[in-house]
Amino acid sequence: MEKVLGKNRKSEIKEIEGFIDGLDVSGCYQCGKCTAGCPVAHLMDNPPQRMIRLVQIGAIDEALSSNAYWNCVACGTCSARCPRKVKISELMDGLKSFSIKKKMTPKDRSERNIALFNEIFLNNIRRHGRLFEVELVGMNNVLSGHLLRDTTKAPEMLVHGKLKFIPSNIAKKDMKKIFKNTVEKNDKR
Amino acid sequence: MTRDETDQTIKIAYYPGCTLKGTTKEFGDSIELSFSALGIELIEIPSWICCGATSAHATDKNLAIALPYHNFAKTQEMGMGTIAIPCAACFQRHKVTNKECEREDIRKEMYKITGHRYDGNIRCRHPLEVLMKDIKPEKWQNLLKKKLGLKAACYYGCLLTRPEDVMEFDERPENPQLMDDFCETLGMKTVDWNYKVTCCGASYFASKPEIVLKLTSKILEDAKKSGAECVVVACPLCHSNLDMKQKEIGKELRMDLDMPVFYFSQLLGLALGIDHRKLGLHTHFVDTQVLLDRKRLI
Amino acid sequence: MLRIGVFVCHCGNNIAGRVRVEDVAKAAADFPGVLYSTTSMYMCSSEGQGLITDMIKKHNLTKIVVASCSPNLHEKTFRGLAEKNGLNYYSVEIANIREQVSWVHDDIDKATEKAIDIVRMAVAKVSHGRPLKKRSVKVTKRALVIGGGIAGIQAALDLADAGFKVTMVEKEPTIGGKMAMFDKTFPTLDCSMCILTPKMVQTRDHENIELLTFSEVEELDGHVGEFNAKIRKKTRYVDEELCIGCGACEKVCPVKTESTFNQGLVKRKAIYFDFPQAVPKVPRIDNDKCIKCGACAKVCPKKCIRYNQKDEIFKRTFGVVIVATGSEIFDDSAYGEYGYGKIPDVITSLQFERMLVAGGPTDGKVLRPSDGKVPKSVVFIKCVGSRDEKKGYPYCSRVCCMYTAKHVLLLNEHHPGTDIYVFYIDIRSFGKNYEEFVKRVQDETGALYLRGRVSRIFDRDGKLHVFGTDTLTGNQVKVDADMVVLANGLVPAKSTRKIARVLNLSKDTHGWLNELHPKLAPVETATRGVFIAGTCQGPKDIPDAVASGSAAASRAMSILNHSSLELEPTIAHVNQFLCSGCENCFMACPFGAIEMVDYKDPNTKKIRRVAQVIESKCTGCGVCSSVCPVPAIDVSGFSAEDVFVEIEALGKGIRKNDAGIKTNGKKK
Repeated sequence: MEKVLGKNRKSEIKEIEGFIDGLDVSGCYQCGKCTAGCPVAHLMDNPPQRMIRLVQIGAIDEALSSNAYWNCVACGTCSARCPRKVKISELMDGLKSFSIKKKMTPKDRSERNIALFNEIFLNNIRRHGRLFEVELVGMNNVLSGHLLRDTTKAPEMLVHGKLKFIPSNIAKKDMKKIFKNTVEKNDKR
Repeated sequence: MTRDETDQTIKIAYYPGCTLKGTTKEFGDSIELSFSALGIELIEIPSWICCGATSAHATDKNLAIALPYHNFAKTQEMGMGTIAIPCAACFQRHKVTNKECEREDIRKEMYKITGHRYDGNIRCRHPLEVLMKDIKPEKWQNLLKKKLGLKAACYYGCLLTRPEDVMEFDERPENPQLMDDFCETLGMKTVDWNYKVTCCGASYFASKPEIVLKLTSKILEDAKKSGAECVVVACPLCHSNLDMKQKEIGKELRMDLDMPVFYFSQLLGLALGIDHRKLGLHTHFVDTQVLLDRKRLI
Repeated sequence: MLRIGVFVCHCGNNIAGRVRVEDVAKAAADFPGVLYSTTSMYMCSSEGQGLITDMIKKHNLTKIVVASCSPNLHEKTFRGLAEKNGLNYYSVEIANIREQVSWVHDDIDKATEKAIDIVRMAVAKVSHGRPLKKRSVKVTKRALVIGGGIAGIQAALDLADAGFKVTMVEKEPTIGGKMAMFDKTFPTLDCSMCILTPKMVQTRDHENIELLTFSEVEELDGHVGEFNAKIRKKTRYVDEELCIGCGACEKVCPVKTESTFNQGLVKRKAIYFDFPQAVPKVPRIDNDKCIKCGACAKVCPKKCIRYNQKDEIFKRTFGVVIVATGSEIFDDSAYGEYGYGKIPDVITSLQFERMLVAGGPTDGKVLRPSDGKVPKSVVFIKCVGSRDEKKGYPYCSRVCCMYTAKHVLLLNEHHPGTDIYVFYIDIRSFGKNYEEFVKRVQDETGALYLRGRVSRIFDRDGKLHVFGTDTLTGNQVKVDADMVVLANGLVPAKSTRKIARVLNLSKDTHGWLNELHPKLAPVETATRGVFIAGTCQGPKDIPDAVASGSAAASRAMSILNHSSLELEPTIAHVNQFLCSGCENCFMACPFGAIEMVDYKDPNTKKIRRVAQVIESKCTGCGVCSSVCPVPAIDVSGFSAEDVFVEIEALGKGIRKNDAGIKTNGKKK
């Protein structure tokens, strides 16, 4: 793919850097230590060090259409070992929220499932204050099409009183306010 | 942390987090029981809310800070100076938020979002830090009733140690020792192994289980090869991945893993002589009884 | 009577582009005492200097102000010119209207105004100033060379060959430095010891060189031409004069302890030589490890073991000092991902180097420290501590790319067929024949160069699992290796940090010694007469270290060749009548140039303690003057009065401008 380089790349990079606190991609000299230590790089179409390069040359759209950041497990190994103190892990996180803000959906189903899980999770805590686990697993399985995933474990958990069928429903007002002033505010923009 | 002048109990605010009240009840129960046996009173923060976990910080930065901020604000209202958070994931989200809250502009922003005040002065500690760094083993060792002759691989995972400048959990973040020291205090032996801080796949147990299977299998294989009889963890996600998925992993590796996965707090409870059923040791997917029987610990 | 000339420089467009220089000259003509003022395109050119000379003669000028660039650049030029024309050297003041005005301001009106102010201040200062006389000092024709590595050896031999006396002080029991640890040198593969030992022997035998090994410079004061040093010769417990270096003592010593020289790969005795070609060939007893069994004393044919020997103190005076205290390798225990320096088969480049040496700890065989076996696959990791802001230093250590290439070649030579991997970020082969050498290594050895860093090393079942990346394909790669060699970068030696304190030398943020100018004065320091050579200044390979040793020697000779030197008179003086004896200056002086002495007060006839400047130590930095509450202590040429007349002149300018606003009745 040909990327026409021009001055406008600076504003595009700025947009991403501004979105992620303290990110400065210019420090990266492509040593690849991030990729070397990444537990899930093999699942990514672009390994971490190439994601940074894409941002460096201003190929933001290509970076956003990559599946790399959806596969990132946020373990922080890359940032911890980066010799140039580039916040790679934070970049991956930032790309997730950036793409949500831009209403982009991941191409592949498995990545869509990750996005979906996050949505279900947040919806769950927004309504209940604390995580209502039974609902989370149920909703996730229904919506992701894996109806029976982990259900084999359910009877055992039930016996040990680990599954609760009544949500906590706590701090509802607070939760409503927090979500209104954060995620939902962005949606309106 | 406050020490009551009259009865010598130490009081700490306590954030259990969602799973400790549900699917990983044994973690929550064992923390509460063993701390109370040590004379440390954990006072649960009223109306605490979920920390947002990875889902929040993958979605919206402000949301990811606002949720733990709420809990700090509630702790401040209680007039407590320290929170203990056993779940490594919740602990990390709160530590990161606390670091952000050193900045006044962020605190102001959060005040606008949540409507609650927090001045950024609360210490956020993991129970292991409370025991090993704050109170120190010399002060509670004498309360132990049993020596646990187990040989364990201490698994720290990602969140206890990273980012190291925020967590400040151990001076040697690539090869931490704090949990090892804790286990040795309980009379255990710990092994030197490679995967102490390598990721287990964490929250993808629900959305991408194949990642988890791949990562956890390497961890369990190395723990086994290092001669450990069990794995010790401090994180419900690590526990789920290593315990619940272990049979599948064993099939994949064609290996009889048979590695019980303990929460550090369950071991503390055992050493303190608390009944193993109360500690939820019978509720794991990988059987713990055989090993504990063999070692005459139950 | 004052007859001041003001010469304003255009500096092409450098000054004239932002300052109306003609206006400056015109304004200066009205300042008290100014007889003549003019401008010129380049005041430093022969034309400009000719103009000044002519005007001094024509108008019989007694003092000069040149409004031009920073005094750092041309103060000497114009003062020299004035002196040539019969004026006092210090009757010239520079008004810096380039660095402090034209280069830093955009508004031409305001810049011109500021330039006029600065010139007014310079005129005031020069009118007030008294002629000063330079101090003359005798030059002691002896050089002190600190450090006996290759850079120090080169400097000492150059000086000695030119006929100057040299004292070399080396902290280790033998000279030779790091180069004595190396097997071969890149890119020519000369045997390091074969080319080094002749120079070591020459140093020992040279009639002009006094060699003090196992010695350290503890104190140094004074100034160029006359540095006074206190040198401690630590005891070896062996009589250096009598010893013939037969080594009988070393053979019988029953103690075994870690050998620092061999990087912990083998044990040495409590009485030992670092290596067989040590110079001087005199052993040393490690008193911490010696069990005082007396075996060595029994076998010594010359009876030169001295258990009661004490440290010796030497006091010497030197005309110049050359610092060549070197560097050491980065301590990789900062890298947790590489095992915090605890995995036995992850070794440093210097350990690997020692293994390659034919007469070294493993007789030239590369062996795993864990089991003594020859590794079948070896991974080299470059940039350990270098180019790493997180765990090491941001700079490039310059030598690691090349020594790693050499290591690969030699490994393949010693153990053909070894599977070799090199993780690099960039290959920096900057020197003559260096790039060709790297290509040769890649061609001959079949080593796989992988562009990427290693993230983690796991140690399991006798194998090192090396997790890296090949950034050129974007693939993660894993090598199950038998040995990993870290290409540790260079850091300043501990002794370099120490000597910087003793000599008051400035260091950069990483501890490397600062040169006076990175381009034009690379071996000089801010202290006149003190030079630096070799890797105490920054990472260097052998040819560069040798070149800097020779350069330092040559700069030193330009001082030693004189029988006397002139020193700046701008040093501190105490008005002892005013001095209250508060000791502020005594505490503050960074050079220890103030002493407290008894003084008889002429009024009260009582004796009291007052400060006094030790002229030979004073550098004229002015710290004393700024902390004096009276003020009773002043630096010549920068006295409180000198400074106040300048401030007053500045004030006059401001008052004049205020008045202007009032009369015009409008805002500026």
